[in-house]
Amino acid sequence: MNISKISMRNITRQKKRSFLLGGAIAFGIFIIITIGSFTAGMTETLKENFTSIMGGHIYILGTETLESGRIVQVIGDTEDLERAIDTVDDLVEEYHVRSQVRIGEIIYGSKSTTLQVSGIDWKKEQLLKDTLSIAEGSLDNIETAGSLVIPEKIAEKLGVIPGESVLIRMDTVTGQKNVGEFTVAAIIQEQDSFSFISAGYTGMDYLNELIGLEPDEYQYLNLHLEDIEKMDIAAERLVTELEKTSLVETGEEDEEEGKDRSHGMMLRGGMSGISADEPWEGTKFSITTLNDIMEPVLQLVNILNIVSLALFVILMIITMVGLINTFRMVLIERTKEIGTMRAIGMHRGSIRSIFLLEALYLALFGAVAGILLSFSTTIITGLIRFTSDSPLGLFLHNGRLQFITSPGSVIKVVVMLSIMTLVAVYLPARKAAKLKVVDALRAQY
Amino acid sequence: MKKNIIIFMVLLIVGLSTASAISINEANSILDTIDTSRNFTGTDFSAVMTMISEDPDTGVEKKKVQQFRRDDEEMFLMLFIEPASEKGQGYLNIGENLWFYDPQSRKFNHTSMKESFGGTDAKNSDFGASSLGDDYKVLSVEEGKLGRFNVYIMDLEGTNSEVTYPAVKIWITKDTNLMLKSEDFSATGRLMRTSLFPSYAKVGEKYLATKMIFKDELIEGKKTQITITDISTKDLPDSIFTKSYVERVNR
Repeated sequence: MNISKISMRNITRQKKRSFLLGGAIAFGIFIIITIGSFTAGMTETLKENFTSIMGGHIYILGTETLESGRIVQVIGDTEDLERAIDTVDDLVEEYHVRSQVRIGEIIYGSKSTTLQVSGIDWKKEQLLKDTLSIAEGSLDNIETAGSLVIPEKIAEKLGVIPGESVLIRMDTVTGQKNVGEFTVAAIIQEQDSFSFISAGYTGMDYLNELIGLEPDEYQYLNLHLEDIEKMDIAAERLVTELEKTSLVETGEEDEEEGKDRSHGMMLRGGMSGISADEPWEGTKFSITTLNDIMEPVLQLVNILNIVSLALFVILMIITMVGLINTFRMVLIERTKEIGTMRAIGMHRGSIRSIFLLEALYLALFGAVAGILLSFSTTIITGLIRFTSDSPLGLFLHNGRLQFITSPGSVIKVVVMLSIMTLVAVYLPARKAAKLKVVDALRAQY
Repeated sequence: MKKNIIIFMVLLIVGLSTASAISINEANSILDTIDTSRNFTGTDFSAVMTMISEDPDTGVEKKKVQQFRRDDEEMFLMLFIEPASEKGQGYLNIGENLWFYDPQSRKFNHTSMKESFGGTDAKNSDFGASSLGDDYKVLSVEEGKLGRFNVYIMDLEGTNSEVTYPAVKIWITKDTNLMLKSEDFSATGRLMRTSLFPSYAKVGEKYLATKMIFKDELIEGKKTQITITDISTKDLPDSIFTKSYVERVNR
């Protein structure tokens, strides 16, 4: 009988004890893999959602000051910007120019609600067209002036269907009150965009007219990169080129100064309306990347991962203490057996290996059970559809939580567990190996 | 000859009936008069405003606000007294700056004179000093009647792109130059809001609209009625127009 078979048989000799020890290991593995999958899925979902709703990975916002000192959001003179984007042309898949009504009030009869409306150049934004999930209506005539795409939640609240007219109350870039008439062309499933922002889309030319911009002006230029990993390289090139001719603000600078301006500017729609203390000439550019926006989320994810790792380590330490005690008991229980095995010629190393292998098998069985339990849990939880106004709205992908389990992280956890198990059992195993044959055979317990 | 006289008479009558009673310049100076009569220069002002908002979505809501004004220094403070859920909230205006104070977060946030006042149909600018003469110029003026009042009906256009409404139509009493009604239009020319000022009180040399009705013309059935009581022109302590005062009253 070889060592491996003896170790395996030993596990089944004390089924209840093995089950409890393996169960504790499985629970620890389950916790760390499930939390890891949740945080990885959450990060990916947020990245996808931000990319989809903001139309890219790098966002360039322009602000200018009027004679009165009022700051308005507009990229009027595009010459400098065009020169800068030439430097990143090889990295960009699509350019998206947008104008935006940050807080509009959509009105249908006596009902109204708030809606963020983005002005889209439909001819150029194929990616957005492809990602919008149409619930009702169609995008066939979306390029007609005044055509509007709204989320399901808004349509339900107003009781509006495609083909009907709605009004949107908004402010122009200089803060004047205006109202535009729109025709609902399509209703989209809101899970395809942020559930916590009700975002609608319309043609940019029509929106520009309403908010007081010229047809060739826009407020944002968003860059959708071919390779998301090259985001920081592209942003750096843009900043370097733009700084030669214009004022530039970046997410990093704000971070260094302990501010959160750029992130906030993108999400809140800039600083439009506030009087500038020091007015500037031309367009001031603010460059924000998806990484800048994701940073607070990534910090949260890191904290969650650290907490889950700490929990895992604590659980494992408790389990390892149990494992040491168990194997000390095993040593006492099997002293005579060890003496017999040694008497018939088994080496000390083999005795040690039997102990170590037994513990390793136990840990691996527990790990497999934990992994299977984690997979089942994530699959079942991933099937649950949450409502868009759920507190989890921020993390939903198509209305569901997304779990991503990377094989690398699973292997890492299993290797870590194996090492901890071997270290824990090493002392009882060594003690077993060092037993003298005569003493072992003479043992009365 | 007789025919010519008849034609002349008809033209004269038509001409007289369509000609405005006052010139555009005179109409513009009426805007300044309105500002002068509505602004409390040389004195402080305080009052209590009762606002009743009707919204088809949320129903009827009543709010009470204590108003303090010092128009000479372009300052005002509006403190919510009722309902209990909004008590302590306030709008503090000092010159170019307007802040909204939320006692729950204990924070002052910048806001704009163009924004809605406490979610009602009134704008923050409706409660500060009037600047019709600076912000608008008269495009046309005609005589007419509003109820039993003889009025001038003026079409106004914003003098810059930063006024809240790009175009406004106002009804001004001929004898006292009081604004009885105004219609506010969007940049696209759509009527957005109608304001009615059916009653005025004379406070010293000034006129104050004691009842105001703001009707949202885009949302059917949405309007706000404001009644002003407890009017006083007594001097107010300087400390009232400070952030620390707003914080203090919330302790």
